[in-house]
Amino acid sequence: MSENTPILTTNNINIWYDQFHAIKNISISYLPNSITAIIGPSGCGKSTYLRCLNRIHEEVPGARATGEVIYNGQNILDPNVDPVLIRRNIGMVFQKPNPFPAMSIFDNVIIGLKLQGVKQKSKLKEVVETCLKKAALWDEVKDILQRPGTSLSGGQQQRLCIARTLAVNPKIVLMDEPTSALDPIATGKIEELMQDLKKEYTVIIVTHNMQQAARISDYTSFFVLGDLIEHGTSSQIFTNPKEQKTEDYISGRFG
Amino acid sequence: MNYYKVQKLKSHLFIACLYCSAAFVLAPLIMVIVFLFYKGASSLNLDFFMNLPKPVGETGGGMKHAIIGTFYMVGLGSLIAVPLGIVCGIFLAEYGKGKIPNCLRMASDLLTGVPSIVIGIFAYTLIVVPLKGFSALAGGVALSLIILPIVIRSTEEILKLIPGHIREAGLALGLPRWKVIYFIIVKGNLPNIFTGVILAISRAAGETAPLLFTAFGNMYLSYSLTGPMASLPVQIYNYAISPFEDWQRQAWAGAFVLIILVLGLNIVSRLIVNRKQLFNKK
Amino acid sequence: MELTSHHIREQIIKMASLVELSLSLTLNKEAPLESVIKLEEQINQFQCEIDDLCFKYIALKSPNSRDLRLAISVLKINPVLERIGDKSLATKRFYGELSYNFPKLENMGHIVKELLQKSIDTFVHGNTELAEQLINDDEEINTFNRELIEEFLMAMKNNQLEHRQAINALWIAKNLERIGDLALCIAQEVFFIEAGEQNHYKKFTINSDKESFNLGKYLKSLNENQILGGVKP
Repeated sequence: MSENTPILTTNNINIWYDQFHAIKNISISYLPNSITAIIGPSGCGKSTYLRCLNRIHEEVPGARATGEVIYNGQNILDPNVDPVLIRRNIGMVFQKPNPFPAMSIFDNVIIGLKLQGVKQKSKLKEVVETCLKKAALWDEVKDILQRPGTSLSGGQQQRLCIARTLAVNPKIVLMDEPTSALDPIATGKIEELMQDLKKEYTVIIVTHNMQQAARISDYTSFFVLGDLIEHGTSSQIFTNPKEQKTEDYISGRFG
Repeated sequence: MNYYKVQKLKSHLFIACLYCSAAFVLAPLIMVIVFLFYKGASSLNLDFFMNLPKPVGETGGGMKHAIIGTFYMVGLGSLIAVPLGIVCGIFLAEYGKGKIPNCLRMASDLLTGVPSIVIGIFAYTLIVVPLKGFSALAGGVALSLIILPIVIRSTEEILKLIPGHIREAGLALGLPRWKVIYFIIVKGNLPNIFTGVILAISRAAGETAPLLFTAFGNMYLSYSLTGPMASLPVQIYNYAISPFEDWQRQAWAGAFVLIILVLGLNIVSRLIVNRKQLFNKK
Repeated sequence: MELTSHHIREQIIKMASLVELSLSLTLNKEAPLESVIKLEEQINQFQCEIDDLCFKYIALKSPNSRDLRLAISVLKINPVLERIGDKSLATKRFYGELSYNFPKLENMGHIVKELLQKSIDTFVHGNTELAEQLINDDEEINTFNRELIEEFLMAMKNNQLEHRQAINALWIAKNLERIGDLALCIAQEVFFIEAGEQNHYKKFTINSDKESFNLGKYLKSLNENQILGGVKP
């Protein structure tokens, strides 16, 4: 696959919560090894849109999506496609750090692989080390791998969750406001980490922090009330947006 | 008096009320334990635990058969109710929307509210009548009906406390739902679930009414599932209403043992929770 | 394009070294005019790039504290360096017209070159102590300039020097003096980057000025002498 072939494409995505039309006709392509930020005022549907990219939106009763999400030449919104297999390729990190309860740091990282049936101990150990290293957490926890994951600090927990997501070897990592529950130092670490993740993964991140979007992303999409107002390179969106609404939002005059 | 002083006085008055009500609640519990200790501890000795009752008129003897019977029937009841209750609780917590779960929830709520004597009668008609005789099995079934709704609701409440994003995190790892529920949600909260179970068991251990019509009680040691079986609450009841002074003394001792048993289970369940919290804080 | 303060620093230092090179080529009689012109083109290109870099850096990375001060300083230094490049090229053109050797002018050229080097050094190393000393070098250049003007005027009065030559030489002196001033501007930014302090030298020079300038008095004297078109109130 060449650098310029999109790894993920959405065509005319519409999402409803019962009667409420949350996302309206959104089409965006995502290039491999890029970071795309989705920004917009609260309630604009950015999380909803992100969650439909690995069909985790189905967890909300009454939610349904139409349109196409093309991954690997396949429309993953097709009811015949098994969401379980999709999610192995498109992982997700959530807003609140959520290590699994009563599981050690070690188990938290490998639980995905373990429950997928990988039993080889040496392989699991190796995965734990590489994933914790990729999540920039290894040095901090390598001596306390048997402690419960919940004993770590918030920022460490979130990096543990990132390591856990990476362990099942996804191609795309979705992040739903991954730093909104963290302090600035932990946020900084995660932002730094994302620049490294970009080398191997495609990252799509929802953030309500515009500066964060500007700092870390290559592309930015701006949503308002379920509409895509503008999508472009972050340097264009943040220095010279084409739409008045975008201009107003990023200058803090609206939203 | 200025405004500030009035406010302060009101505040003190309110706090005093809170302490008073706390004292009113604590007092009966402490009094029950102290009273039982005073009345029962003196008759408590190794004989009480190791011996069977002596014939009427002779002093001495113990309640070994009743203690074992209580454990036996509570164990039997738990064996029936706990696995079923946990599974139902999981069902309610994870798939709790729709007609069937709502019916189940209402049923278990009603079952909690059913007087224990009614449960006794129910077990009587269900098992004692067809089998033509009081039996430990009937006692166990009656106790299981006491345990079941408590286990269901406590399991459901505990699992509902787990935020949805933890389930979603499991699903986002590309795991099927049943694996997420079993390996992540339930396994991660076993200590909490067991706390609920232990509370339910301790509740059942003290029940008299359901056993009156079912296990009935006897004066000898029995391990038979189909024969009548003694239990502490029934034994206490029988001894307490008897005219013999020695039996009344033993009833006090039995009551003391029973309350220690129930209290002990409660404390154990609390310790499990606390230990887990301690563990997590580290 | 890498948007980091480190990268911005690197770029501005590269540009500064080009400017330094341009001035030394100007002062070197053997170097052809074309070499300076070529450098000037490169310097201009650098200016555009660094401007864009700083703009995007501030817009996208929302830098704080030291990084912010650096970005703003670079935005200020950037046109100054470009001006120095311009002046250097202009000086080279005047040198081309010059047919005599003026040792004093050459001397001044060396002092200015040294000042520029030192200014850039203070910027690279963040050395505020060195920056403090530069003010004296600038004073020296200014005196040099004043002396040269007097000398050339005398020489012209006495018909010892062709007027065209004298004017060329004066322009060179003027440009060199200006380069000295601009170099000082670069050094001044060190105080801002290191301590967040603005206009360090200005404070310094105003305080050292013994005769403070009074605009009202000056205008009044002008009116009295009826220089302003003879308008009398």
